[in-house]
Amino acid sequence: MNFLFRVFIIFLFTYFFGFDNHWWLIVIYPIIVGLIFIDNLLSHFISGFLGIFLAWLILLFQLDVQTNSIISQKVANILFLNNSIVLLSISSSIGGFLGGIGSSFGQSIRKIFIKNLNQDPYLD
Amino acid sequence: MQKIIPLKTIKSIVLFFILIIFIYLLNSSVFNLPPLGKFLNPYSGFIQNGMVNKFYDIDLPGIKDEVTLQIDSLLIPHIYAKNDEDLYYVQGYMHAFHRLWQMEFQIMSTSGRLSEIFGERALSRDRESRRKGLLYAAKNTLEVSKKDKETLKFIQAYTKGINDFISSNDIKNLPIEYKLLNYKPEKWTILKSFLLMEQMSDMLSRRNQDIEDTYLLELLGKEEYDFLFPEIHQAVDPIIPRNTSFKFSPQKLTRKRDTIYPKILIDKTFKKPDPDNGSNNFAISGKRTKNGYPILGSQPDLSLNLPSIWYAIHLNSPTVNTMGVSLPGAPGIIIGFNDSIAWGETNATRDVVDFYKIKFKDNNRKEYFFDGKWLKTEKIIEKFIVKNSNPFYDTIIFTHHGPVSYDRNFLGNNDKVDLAMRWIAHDASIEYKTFFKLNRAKNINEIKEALSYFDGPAQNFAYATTSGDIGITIAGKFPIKWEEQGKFLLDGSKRDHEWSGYIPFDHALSMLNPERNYVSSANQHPSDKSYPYYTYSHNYEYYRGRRLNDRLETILNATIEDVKNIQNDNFNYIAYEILPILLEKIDTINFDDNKKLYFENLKKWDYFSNPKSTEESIFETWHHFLRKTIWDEFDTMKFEYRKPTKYNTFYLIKNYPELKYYDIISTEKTEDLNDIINLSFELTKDSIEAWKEVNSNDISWKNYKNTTLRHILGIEDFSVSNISIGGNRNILNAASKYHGPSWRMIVELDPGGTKAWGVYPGGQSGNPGNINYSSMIKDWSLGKYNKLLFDKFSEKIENQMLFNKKFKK
Repeated sequence: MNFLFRVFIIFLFTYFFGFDNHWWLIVIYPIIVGLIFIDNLLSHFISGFLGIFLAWLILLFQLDVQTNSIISQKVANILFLNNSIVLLSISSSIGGFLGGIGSSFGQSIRKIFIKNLNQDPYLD
Repeated sequence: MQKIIPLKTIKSIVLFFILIIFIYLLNSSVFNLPPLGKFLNPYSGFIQNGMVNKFYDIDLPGIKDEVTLQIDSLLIPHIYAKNDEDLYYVQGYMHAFHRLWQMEFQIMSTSGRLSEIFGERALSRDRESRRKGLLYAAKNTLEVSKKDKETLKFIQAYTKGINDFISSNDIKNLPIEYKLLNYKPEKWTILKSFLLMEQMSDMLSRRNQDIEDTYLLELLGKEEYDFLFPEIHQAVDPIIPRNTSFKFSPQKLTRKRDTIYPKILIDKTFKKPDPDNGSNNFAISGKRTKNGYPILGSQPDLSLNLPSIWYAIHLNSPTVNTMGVSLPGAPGIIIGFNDSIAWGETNATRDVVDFYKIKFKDNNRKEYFFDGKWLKTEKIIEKFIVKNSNPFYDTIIFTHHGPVSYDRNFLGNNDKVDLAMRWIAHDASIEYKTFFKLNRAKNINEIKEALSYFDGPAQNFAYATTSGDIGITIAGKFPIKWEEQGKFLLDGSKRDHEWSGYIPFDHALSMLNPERNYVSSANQHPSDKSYPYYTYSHNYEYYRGRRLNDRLETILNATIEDVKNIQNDNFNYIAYEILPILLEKIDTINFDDNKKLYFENLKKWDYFSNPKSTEESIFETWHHFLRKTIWDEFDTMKFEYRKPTKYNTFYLIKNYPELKYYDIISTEKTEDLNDIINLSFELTKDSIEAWKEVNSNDISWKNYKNTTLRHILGIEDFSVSNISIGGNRNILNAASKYHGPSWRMIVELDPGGTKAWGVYPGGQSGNPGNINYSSMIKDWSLGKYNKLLFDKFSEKIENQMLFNKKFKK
């Protein structure tokens, strides 16, 4: 539940509250989520990744449909990609990766301040 | 003992650095890719450029009074302002709204600043730009224009409009080229609008062959040089008809008897503007039209680019109601019409660039020799900011002639050559004043007054008025020259080699309401030798002008459809004149099937270069090989040269059956004219068969020619290729591969209301993500036009608009 909830929170914020001028500021959402919820780093990476990945994917596809894929098709060709779907997926993965690292980083800070660790071998 | 940092902390630090580096990389260009995060994110990345026509973003914060802005379905803005400053303010705003990147990029290129975007690979081009003195010229103009308060006020308002757009605009709305290349727009300045005019001069008036012709003269001798490169031919039908008498008393110069041109050889010369920059325009008097009103046609042929060079716009204020095309970056209308007049320009080719050999006193280059004295030079150190590298500095020496363009630092053959460039575009001039006045002109007198301010790039202005007048004036500042002055390199130490004055505007070539009831121009010779001033260009056109006049001569009750047909005329005059002679000499005995087919087709051809014509493809290839075979001697020359013109080549073939040039120097045999005609036909067949193997079996002209509108950066996916259009260079419909009619306009001067039709290859929007970007290309290629919406009152046309809003102060 914790995992899905995290994905959902990151998704919501990234989807609705993006930053036009400094797009990368969205990384604060996974960082904050990382600071709040306790889980292992890998799990945080995945939830951070999915949160942003999904939000971007949906945003991009919505805009792409509205614009009849004119620009995405041209940009895909310029970047030597076969089609706009690949382009939009790669774009979303970049956002996802940022979310993943952000969330893990948030969690790693949290861990410095936790004294008693669980027994989970992945946690230390 | 040393304290150990806990593993948890190390992990955190490592993750932190990964995060920072990742964000940094996503915001920088690596391997010439756009910065991936910045470019691909959904909030401000490329996808936002798909969001078309954001009219709701338009606000006009700087207007002083109420402005009505309408945008029609072609995205042409119609601006109704209560004063002129608001009018030009909104024009600037709309130029930026649709074409910001293009405007700025052109200026970066003209001012030699492309290295700031592209790094070292653009440096040599940038140095060339500054050594041509483009920035120097724009600065001269800026100084003078400050004295002309009204002109300055309009340009200032225009500049403010652009800047208000830039500062109110989000990153997400930046044109996609900025995002791809990862840079941002700078503030617009008045200087930049002047630089744009310099860019036009660079494109239209800088072509010269002084260096090449000096070499050829030396190599061939005067007689042979004149034989191969004559200044004019009997067949030429000049803009101002032959044997016109001129009533003024000219200021004549004669060449000194002992004139000696410097003899200089140069390995490589400056890149030249395209020789095909040309156009046609004409005005037909009401006596020759069906409705009895004059009709004006204007068709400037330029490099075919996307975004298009032109931007259509309608400007209305209490002092003006005008429409036509403007240049993004420049206020006013350049080619267009108003309630009373219509006008259009073609390039008035003439040699206004000369090179002077400079003799420096010593290596310091602080003094140079002129007219028996040592004069001081001025040294300017130009700084070039180079992306991802250290700044580069280039020292440019200025003499009173102009910048020393070729010297030890640049193309000067290691300090053997110093050449100063004298170019009319270096002089201060305010062309904008011409356009502000022309846009408001009501009659012939006001047109003439407007043109008197026009210095260059010299243009043939054709015009017509609703009161029934038609005329043509070759406007521009032209130096008075002695015979052949400036055709070859000049001696920078001699006073008589300098330009000593300019042809007064009263003596300009001009014609009003001629008996033949039409005026026209198509880059041909301005006049025959009856004009008392020496006029020269190596690049006059020999075919389009004659075809245009042939057509106008036969027209009696001209309609708009007739004029459309003239502008889209695909008749190949070269083929008409030379093909029968060539075919006659073809030896049909040893024909294979292909050759026979080509031969038979060419024999039946009507000389129209239509999109589906295969004959045009064969003829163009043959023509190419024939010239190549004849002038093979030139390819062995060591320095830069040019070959005789097409016209002269065919003239020689027709009139001189025996010439040493017909021999192919690389063979033992001595070829004659018949041999090379047959040989080039053979080469044509081989070349076309090879083309078929690589491309397709369909050698229809449109396929073979492949007319392409290239994006300014050459990005293939932002370009449009294989356009189905006929025509070629030297044909009225001058669409060659990368060149062609950049705007077709027809205006009927009906006193009850000027009517106009127009189309250009491209679209108003410069955004490749907007469907409008390439929306007019198809109509353009088919010869279809749009009726232009034009009315003095905004209410009359508002129901045909996509956008219509009153902006309050």
